[in-house]
Amino acid sequence: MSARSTLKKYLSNRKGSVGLAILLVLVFMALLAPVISPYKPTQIDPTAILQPPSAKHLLGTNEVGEDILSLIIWGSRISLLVGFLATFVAVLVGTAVGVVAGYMGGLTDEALMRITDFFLVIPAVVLAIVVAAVLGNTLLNVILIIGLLSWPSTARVVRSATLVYKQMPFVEASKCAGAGTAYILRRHILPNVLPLVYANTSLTIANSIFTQAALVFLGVGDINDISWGQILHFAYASGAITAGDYWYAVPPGLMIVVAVLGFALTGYALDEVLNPKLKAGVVFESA
Amino acid sequence: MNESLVSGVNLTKHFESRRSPIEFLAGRRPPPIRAVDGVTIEIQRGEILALVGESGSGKTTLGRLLLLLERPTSGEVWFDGQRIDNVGSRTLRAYRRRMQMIYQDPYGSLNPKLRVSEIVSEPLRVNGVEAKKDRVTEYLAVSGLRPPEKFLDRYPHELSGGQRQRVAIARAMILEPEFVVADEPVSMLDVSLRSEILGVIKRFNQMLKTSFLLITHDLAVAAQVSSRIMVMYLGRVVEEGDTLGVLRRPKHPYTQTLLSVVPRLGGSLPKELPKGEIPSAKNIPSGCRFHTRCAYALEVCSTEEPELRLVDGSRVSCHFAERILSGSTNLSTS
Amino acid sequence: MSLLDIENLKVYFATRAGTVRAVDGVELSVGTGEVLGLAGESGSGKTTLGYALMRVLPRNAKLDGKIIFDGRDLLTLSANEFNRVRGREIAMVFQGSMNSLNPVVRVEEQVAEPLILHSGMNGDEAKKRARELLAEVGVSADKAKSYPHELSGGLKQRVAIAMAISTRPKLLIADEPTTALDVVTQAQILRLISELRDRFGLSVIMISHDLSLLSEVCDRLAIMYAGKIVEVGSKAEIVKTPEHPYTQALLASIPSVERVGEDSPSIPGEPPDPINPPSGCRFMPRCAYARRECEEFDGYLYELSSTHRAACVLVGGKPIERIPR
Repeated sequence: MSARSTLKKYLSNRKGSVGLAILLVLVFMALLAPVISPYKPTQIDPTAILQPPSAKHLLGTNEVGEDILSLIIWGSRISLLVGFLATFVAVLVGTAVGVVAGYMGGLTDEALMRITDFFLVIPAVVLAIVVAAVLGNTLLNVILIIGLLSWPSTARVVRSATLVYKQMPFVEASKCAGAGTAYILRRHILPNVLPLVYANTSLTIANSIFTQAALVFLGVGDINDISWGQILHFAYASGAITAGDYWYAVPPGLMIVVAVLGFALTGYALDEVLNPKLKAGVVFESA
Repeated sequence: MNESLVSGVNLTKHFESRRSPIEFLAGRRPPPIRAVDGVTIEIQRGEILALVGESGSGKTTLGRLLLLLERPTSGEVWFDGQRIDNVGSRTLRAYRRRMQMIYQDPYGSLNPKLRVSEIVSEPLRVNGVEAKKDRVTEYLAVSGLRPPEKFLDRYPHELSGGQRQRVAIARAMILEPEFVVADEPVSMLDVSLRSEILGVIKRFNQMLKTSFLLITHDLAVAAQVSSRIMVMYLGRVVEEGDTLGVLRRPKHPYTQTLLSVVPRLGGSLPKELPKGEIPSAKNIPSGCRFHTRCAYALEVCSTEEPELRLVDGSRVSCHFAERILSGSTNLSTS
Repeated sequence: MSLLDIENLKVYFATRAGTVRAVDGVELSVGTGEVLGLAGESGSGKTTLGYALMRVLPRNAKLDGKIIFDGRDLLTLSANEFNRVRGREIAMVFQGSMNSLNPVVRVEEQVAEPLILHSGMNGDEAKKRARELLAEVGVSADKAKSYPHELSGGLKQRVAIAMAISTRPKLLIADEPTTALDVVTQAQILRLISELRDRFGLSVIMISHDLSLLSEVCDRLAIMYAGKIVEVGSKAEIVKTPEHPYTQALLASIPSVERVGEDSPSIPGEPPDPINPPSGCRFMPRCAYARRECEEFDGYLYELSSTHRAACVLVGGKPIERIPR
């Protein structure tokens, strides 16, 4: 199962190609922001306040005269960055916990799973607000908070997969040959478990982007960093939403939806490609 | 015991069965699964012993006990004159490289993410031995994968069942173990491939003088490569002797039954078949374990468990072994 | 009068790697009350042939040829019309079907299901009939109330058979009915199938890679290789006087409990690629008797007797040296 054939299979999956296309557009948007953004996002035009879309401002302006399209384009940077980094933290912690819990079993498993349950049960928003209040409202803290909230789902997936592979004869054969636990985890368990993690990772990124937007909207995190959630925050705070200024509220919300969709589609497609047994659809039907 | 390479003395392995909520509340424990229930076995250097039985006989569990992949509930395991069932894990690890296992499932016994060369050389690397390509190709060649170089970079999913099993054998043999347990090595392969894979095992046995415990439910498999056969039923040995003796002059009704149902080309189904199924290992019949299905069972069979005794060169546990041997009522068709 | 006549059946699968010619021109017939054994190694196409008869193939399968069952060509029937045949007149016991029993439904209810669907019985009648059927196959009344996981492999297989014969089909296709069963249970199941044939005139196609097993219960045997039938004949003809080199090699490769300490010679080489089978005789690369004429051979089954046919150029007149067994 080389990387090349997997890529081919992935691209032939409709969900996958659409998802990947969306992701590529978003990533390019973020990377090329300085080039494609019509205005500097902080550029203020006092004469054009809360203007609806026009030729000069394709998505209109906000309450201080900033071009919304530029804000959206620049906002993708933080939104995606937080998504990726928080997920990185979550997947790292989650995989470690899941593999150790699944492989060691017994009390270690029980203890780790109870900790996982604890984090699953905590109301996300409440925790976020408390942590931000205590540790400060910075971007780094937001990333950490989201990471902390997301690792349990990865841990569970990884643990289930580990339980399956732990029982395979080739693991025991390796033990018979004299392999130690670290070697077996590294060479036998992780390589087989990781494909499942990739799919889960994509979904975690989707969730992180959404969570970041929600948190910033509520005021957790630095509201001076431009992100889609931040735009929504000000759209609400400035009364634009109640005033019916759709051009201010809809684009950031739409971007969040599109981003989440892109990562979700990619995640499902990866799952189907890397784990063909889970593919939906009838295996046999009458010819 | 000083001469044999591997021996198990009075081994038992009982598994706890799960309690239903009612039993839990009543504080009762359900009867354990008596997988292996008092077996003494000896394997000599360089011999291939076939351990024959159906599912529930305990043969796989016995094999795993001898490799200490399961801890015995009671009894002793000896290897090369040393007792090994009560040693610490570090000492046990040193013994591990001298005994290996070949598994039944060619699809589960190879890591799908690794190449053949990595799979076969793993035992070497894990034990700090240099993994020379020549050694790997040599073992692949003896296992019948020719030309061996062609197979080094392949992944398991690119191989057929028979080829995978050869890789598994090469992996097991590359450390030149003294003792190998082969658990149903050919039962998941097409019938036309079995003889050749058994031939690979025989080749290694002759080349390296490795002892094999060949676990199988198929007497034809036992016939091809083993020098001795041990038949198990519900956790105990019912007959044991040299291959020709057991196959040509079976003395236990169960052995005769097994012989009668082995498919023979152009043969026909035996006229009489034992009734019912093998009893559960939780509920072992009183007296002789086989009496519930035995065509010759008499009253003593349900009350007294027969001893394993020597009859005509084999050890048999049946009250009427002599009479059965004389063929007064014979089950097998030939 | 044959119950089933398969004429030039082809089953091709469209895959990204190419067209897989799983069944490539098969001619076969089964009489009433006859047990036909279809033998072949993995990849020979025998299971696909079974699925084709039941028309339960994946979407990328293409069928060609004729399957004449009880006078009608099944391949010309619409999906709806065939639904009335499948499960009712032709039934199948799939490989490992004992593991496909619904774990949360009692066994007698599962046997009752096809009766409700096909015979239009109501729930109670169907359950009563189901218990009768289970008794016929050797599952007692109290075991009939069990869930599948409470039963042994042999009993589960009996349940699967009961489900298949519940509508008194004319033809039963059994795909590897005894794999994963103990040897004694294996014999019991084969005995059951024979009895069903004797009692109800049931025709059976038994598919297996184990020719020795088939030879014990089948009246006729068909040997399949690389998507084609290479030899067909009565049990005695195939076992005692096989004419096709593959059949001879296959028979010789089976381990025997009679030959203590002896190997059974294996067949050198590998089966051909089903996407690009060679022209001419497909067994030629592995055949000890291959000669020039084999390159042009189209697989025609020459008649050796009214019942015995073999697809080999050597059958056309010239004597063949038999492999000693």
